[in-house]
Amino acid sequence: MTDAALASPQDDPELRKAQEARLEKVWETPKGFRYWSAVNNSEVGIWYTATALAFFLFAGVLGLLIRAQLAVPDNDFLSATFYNQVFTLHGTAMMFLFAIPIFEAVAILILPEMLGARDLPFPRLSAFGYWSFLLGGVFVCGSIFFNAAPDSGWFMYPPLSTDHKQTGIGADVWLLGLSFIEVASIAAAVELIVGTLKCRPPGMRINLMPLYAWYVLVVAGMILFAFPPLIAGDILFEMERMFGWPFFDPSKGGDPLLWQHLFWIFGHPEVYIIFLPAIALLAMIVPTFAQRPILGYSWIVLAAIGTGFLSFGLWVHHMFTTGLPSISLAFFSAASEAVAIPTGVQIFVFLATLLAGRVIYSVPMLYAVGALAIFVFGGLTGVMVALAPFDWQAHDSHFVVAHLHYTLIGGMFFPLIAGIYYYYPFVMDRRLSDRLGKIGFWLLFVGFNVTFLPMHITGLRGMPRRVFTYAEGLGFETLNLVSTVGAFVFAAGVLVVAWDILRPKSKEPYAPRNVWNAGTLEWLSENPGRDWGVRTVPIISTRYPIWQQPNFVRDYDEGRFYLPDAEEGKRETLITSVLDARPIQCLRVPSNTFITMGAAFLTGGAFIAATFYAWTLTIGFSIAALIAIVIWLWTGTAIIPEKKEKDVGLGLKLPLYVSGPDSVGWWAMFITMIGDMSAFASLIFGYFFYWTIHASAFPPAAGVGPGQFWPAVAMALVLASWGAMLLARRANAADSPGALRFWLAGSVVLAIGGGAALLWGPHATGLDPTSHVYPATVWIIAIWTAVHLGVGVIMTLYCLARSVGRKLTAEHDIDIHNVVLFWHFALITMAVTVAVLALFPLAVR
Amino acid sequence: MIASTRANLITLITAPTVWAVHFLVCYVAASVECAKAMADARVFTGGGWPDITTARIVIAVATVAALAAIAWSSRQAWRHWGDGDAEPPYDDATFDDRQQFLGFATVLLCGLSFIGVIFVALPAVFIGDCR
Repeated sequence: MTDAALASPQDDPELRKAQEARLEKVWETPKGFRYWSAVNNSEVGIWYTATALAFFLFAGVLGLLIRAQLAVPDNDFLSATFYNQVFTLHGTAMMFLFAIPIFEAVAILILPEMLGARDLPFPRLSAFGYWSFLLGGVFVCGSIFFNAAPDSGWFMYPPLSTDHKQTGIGADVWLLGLSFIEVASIAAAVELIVGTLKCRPPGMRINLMPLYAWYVLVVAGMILFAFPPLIAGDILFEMERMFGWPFFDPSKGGDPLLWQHLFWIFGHPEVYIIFLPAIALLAMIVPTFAQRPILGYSWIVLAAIGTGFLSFGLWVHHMFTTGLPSISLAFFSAASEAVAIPTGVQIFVFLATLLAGRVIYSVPMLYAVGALAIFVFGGLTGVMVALAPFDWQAHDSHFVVAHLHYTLIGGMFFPLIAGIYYYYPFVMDRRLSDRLGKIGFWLLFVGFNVTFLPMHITGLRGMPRRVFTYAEGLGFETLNLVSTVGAFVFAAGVLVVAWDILRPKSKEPYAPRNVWNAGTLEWLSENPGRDWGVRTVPIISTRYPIWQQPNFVRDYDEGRFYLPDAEEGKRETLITSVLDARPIQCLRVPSNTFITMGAAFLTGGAFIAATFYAWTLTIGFSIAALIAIVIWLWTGTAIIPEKKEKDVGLGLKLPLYVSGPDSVGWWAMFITMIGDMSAFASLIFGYFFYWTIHASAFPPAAGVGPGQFWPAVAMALVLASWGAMLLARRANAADSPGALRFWLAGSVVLAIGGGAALLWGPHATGLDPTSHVYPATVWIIAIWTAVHLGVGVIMTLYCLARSVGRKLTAEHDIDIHNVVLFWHFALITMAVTVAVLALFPLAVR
Repeated sequence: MIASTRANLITLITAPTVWAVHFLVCYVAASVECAKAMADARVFTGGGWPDITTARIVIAVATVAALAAIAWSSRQAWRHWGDGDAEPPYDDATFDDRQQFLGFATVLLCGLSFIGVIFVALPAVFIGDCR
């Protein structure tokens, strides 16, 4: 690039200074109270990471309480019921409030700069996700201080957890608090997928993408298919708890096993959703400290994608003792063994890279090596419990507790600490202490093994999980005491690391730039850091540009690439094509606002009010949240720019406004709807699950609802509504606002009619959802689809208002394209609903 | 889109997607047949375990079809892999590097998926009833 840049305006140091001043101003972090209105990835990423780590410390204290209780036989340190709350919240918080969010947190923090982008495409969505996470997490964790925490295990098996006599409000706290957080996770996944695919710097073809970005892509894709089944399960569960719809009640045709399926379709991929991003950190750390490019880049891609897929074929290995036929267990056992192949490939790639390079011993590497050692051990016990006959012996014993802590702490916690030591100078401008890092490592490593290695034997001797105490003389005493001592050593290690992170460092010197001599883009950042993210969006032609592209850092610092300026005072970043990263748009990203925080808190309010069955309040909060979201969208999205094109530097002119499949909003809608469809597919799975376990009661004999007439009417109306949306889009393209508004209004009327007809079917045929699982299932699927039609109606009305407000025109048509895309999916949902509810009973009778 | 002279993200995940579909077919075939047989006549009546002949036939057909689909995908990927002058590790900023990288990664995924399909089909070779 130096040739092209020879006679560039960037030669003028005065101009560069002026550019830097403008960039600083545009991207400046707000001060004082307004600091909390920030939406930029660096602020949100830091809050997100800090909050997740705080929840880790909280859940860690719960872990210590468990170990203190189990230290000696017949202990009465905790009561049995409080112990139930403690271990449930320990698992729940570690998984939902630490392990998953920390992936989103770290990705939001480092991914944009790794991709040479100033921000992710939807910064306000990240902020919304963060505030949702904070509120939901505090709500779930806070419940224990009121003796109201969930207490039936982190997987909440019915019928224990659906029984109001055995479980209090804790189960509702779990279901609603976590559903709220899951929605935020899906939002983050959408953001990260679009960010990885569309916000790469020009030239960063798919074969040059940093391995971290590959992992982010795979993991975010997994979230789209793993979380929705749990949300669907949560809906069924809450309907049973709140209104007595008997989805998991065998006396009325339900089956608790359906919850286990839905939970573990989420729960097993989730293990890999936690593991892969942590391994992704190692994939950045290992090449840096081997001082050479990764060996076997393609093999890592194989491993990431292969693990991502295979991990969806493992869920029943958590259900080996539920009495499923051997043949079913064997499929999952086979897939569980197969997943060891890609997992092993990653480990060997790291070892090969280290062997081929000259390794620099450092604190991040120490944690990385510790991670590999612990994880390999946990992986091997994983191969053991993947064998059904062995699992029958070990199931629900402390052997499994030991196994899962080896995989999660080796596969996630140690790599994360390696990542914290590695990336701390990038984020906080100063280095962590090598001495404290090493002390912390040895305390953690020794403490961990002393805690969990004996636990394998405790488990094999027969000590069950989740039981608050044990009698003397069973051979558990010494092993448990050793584990407890180890746990406190581990906790000391956590404290050392936490102190290293938190201790004041303002008197210490800044870390030198690119302190580890790494090769990837995020290390272009200066210390102290600048608010602009990247000085200029670079042109990439290698995998490790700082190592491999001549004069790269100098050209970057002098702003000799794209977008070196912010002339119009707007926040901007580049959008590029998926495979080859050709520049296609200069995207204006929205700036700081409190509206996302407001929207998150109002949405959270609705969930929290529902926990207390306070319906008026729930409805009030829902309406307020809807209003906040509409204000957010109206003022912050699809903004019409003051000019069509912009010169982004190096003689390249790019459009400022694009719509349809070229726009990031369209991609976000598409990806969101994929997640939405997997939740819907889970509900349909529920329908067919009940069909398989019933000889004849599901669906019942002829004459029982919803019949065929009303579903057929609903289908016809929704089809017409969808057609009206297509005509509306065509009318808009032909620049005829009158016709556009006519078709939009028509679509609204037809959709409302369609939704009403769909609900009228089960109502008119007298289906009582509390009487049996069949009417309950029919109702829940019909309601799901009707709610989607309702959302479609709101979107269509929004388009109507945008048209009247002259914000939706033939030239500026982002909104109508995205809403029509939603309607495609709504139509599919409707067609499947009618086929299942109305036609399937005819086919099997 | 799947049959393409150019490697892309869809061709990349064809083989693992085939694995996933095959997995679902095997699981659904066996569990529906067993669930239906057991719901109609629980085994405690003294009869033998219901067998799963239909499911085994479905699984056999699905396995052959899945392996054929993966073989087809790997043949295409093999061509992408050889389609150009790029050298491993395919880290230059050229079309050939991108194409050959995606081709090679797809070949690797085909291998993994092929093994995965065989793994998952094996239970049906050894287990013949719903016990």
